[in-house]
Amino acid sequence: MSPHAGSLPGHVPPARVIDLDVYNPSPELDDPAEAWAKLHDREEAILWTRGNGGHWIATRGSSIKAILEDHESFSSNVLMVPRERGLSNLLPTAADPPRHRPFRMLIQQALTPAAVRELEAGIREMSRSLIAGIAPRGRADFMADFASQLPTGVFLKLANLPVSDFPLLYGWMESVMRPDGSADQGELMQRFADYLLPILRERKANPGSDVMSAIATAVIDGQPISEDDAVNMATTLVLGGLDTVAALMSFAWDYLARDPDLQVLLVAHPERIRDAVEEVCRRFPVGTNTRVTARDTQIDGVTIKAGDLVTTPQILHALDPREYTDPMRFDIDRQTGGYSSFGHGVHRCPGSFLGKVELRIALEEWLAAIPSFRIAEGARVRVSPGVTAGIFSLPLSWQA
Amino acid sequence: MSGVSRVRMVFADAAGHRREIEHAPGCSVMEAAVEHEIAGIEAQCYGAAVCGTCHVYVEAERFADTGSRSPWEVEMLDALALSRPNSRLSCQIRVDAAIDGMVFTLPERQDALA
Ligand code: HEM
Ligand code: FES
Repeated sequence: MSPHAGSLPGHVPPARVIDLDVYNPSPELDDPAEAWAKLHDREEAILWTRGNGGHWIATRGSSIKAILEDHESFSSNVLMVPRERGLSNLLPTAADPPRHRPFRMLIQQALTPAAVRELEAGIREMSRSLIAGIAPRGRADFMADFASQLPTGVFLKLANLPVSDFPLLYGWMESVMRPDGSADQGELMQRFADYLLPILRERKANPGSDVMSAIATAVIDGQPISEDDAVNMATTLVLGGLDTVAALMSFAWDYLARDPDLQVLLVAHPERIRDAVEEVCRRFPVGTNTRVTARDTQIDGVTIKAGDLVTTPQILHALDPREYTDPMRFDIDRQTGGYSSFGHGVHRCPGSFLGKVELRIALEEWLAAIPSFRIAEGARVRVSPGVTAGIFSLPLSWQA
Repeated sequence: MSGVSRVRMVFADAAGHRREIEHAPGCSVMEAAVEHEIAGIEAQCYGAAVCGTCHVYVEAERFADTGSRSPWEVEMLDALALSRPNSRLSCQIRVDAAIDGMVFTLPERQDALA
């Protein structure tokens, strides 16, 4: 039985009810993908779970996309289950149109394709220097030695934050993303605020060209941004930009370490790394989004009532056999796109271009220095579930 | 490499310069254009249909080949000063065989929506 079990509301057909914790669907398995895929044996496109206070789960690519694209019926005011963990203050993420717009236009300025191209050389340099440090060792823990370092380095640069703050931020973010009950969410958000507010005040007084300065000096609907709103924007950037890229990388390297033929192909044809990045994004989505229903809406023949919470585990789109032939298989020739890994609709991830560029450059530089590698002998590799799933220990080895 | 199909797209800027690209199907026209560094596609929101800076004019006779516009896209286009009846947000057009060879004309500038 999942945590926070809720009683069953009258409008939920009993035949659609399951018991599943969307943040930990299969505690007994090393890779929850099999457990998720089982949901596709059922005919329905939306189910109800008693887990996490009780909520709907969109189980198909079609229902996931329909919900995320319809911000009028499905509000972002609740971003996590259960409801009391909803992160309802995050900006622009928890705001619906039209309030969403000015915050979104502001936050994406640092992440546009033009802005990301300016960062590319720095990302390549950072990748090279991290890889130069580990290549001669013949082994590494990929997460600790590389995947947690690169995106964080890029992010700290974007925000012009001191690299020495990395462990602090990473620890807080992990507690929010993987709530194991050890920390109270409100308290954690307060710690973010206590850290970010002095920085934002300082940038407001002495603005630079970094994203924190842009947030601190923003004008929203003709008024200077409030301190609360600025903190809620900066918090979203920390939460959205740090561990997602690292998690995506962990899945990419875990897969590649087990597919020597693909290593050979990508070393010989680095131009196909872009297709590999696309397939990583398709096959290994890291998150689950939540919405709160704003008005009664029919989906797949059932009424989703105003106030109901709905989650959209992106992996259920990735593994949907109605969307992809042999969906479990990693195939860089697939070219079907349209996956849900970066969301859909007005909240679609503004950092997805940056994330994919980081992944591509990291792969290019890694394969140039370490063309052949594998999972270290005896290592047990487990997918850690959570609001963002990832592989937090990934021991690799190669011929140094 | 590997017999994968590619879709051809032509981007013509307001001054008449044309660039032809080939891209794998599946993603949006905006993403293909950004990958090929088509200068007139700014794509500030990168696909959320909120910024209006991936605006293109499509060939009027082949308008239907680009798929249908959602009410939200129509609302965004209505707010763009340079919008015309054959306007689309290229982040909302999927790259597939139906648009092979299509000419996308770029507006003289991309205005981000306020
Ligand atoms: C590459 C890995 C990444 C993944 C898988 C990812 C995933 C997502 C998803 C699914 C959403 C939509 C959330 C929703 O609809 O509720 C989102 C939104 C967002 N992401 Fe990302 N993201 C990634 C990287 C980044 C990076 C690198 C940044 C910034 C540095 C970033 C910043 C944001 C922001 C600010 C939003 C909120 C946008 C809005 O509400 O309008 N993301 N991301
Ligand atoms: S990229 Fe912003 S509207 Fe298309």
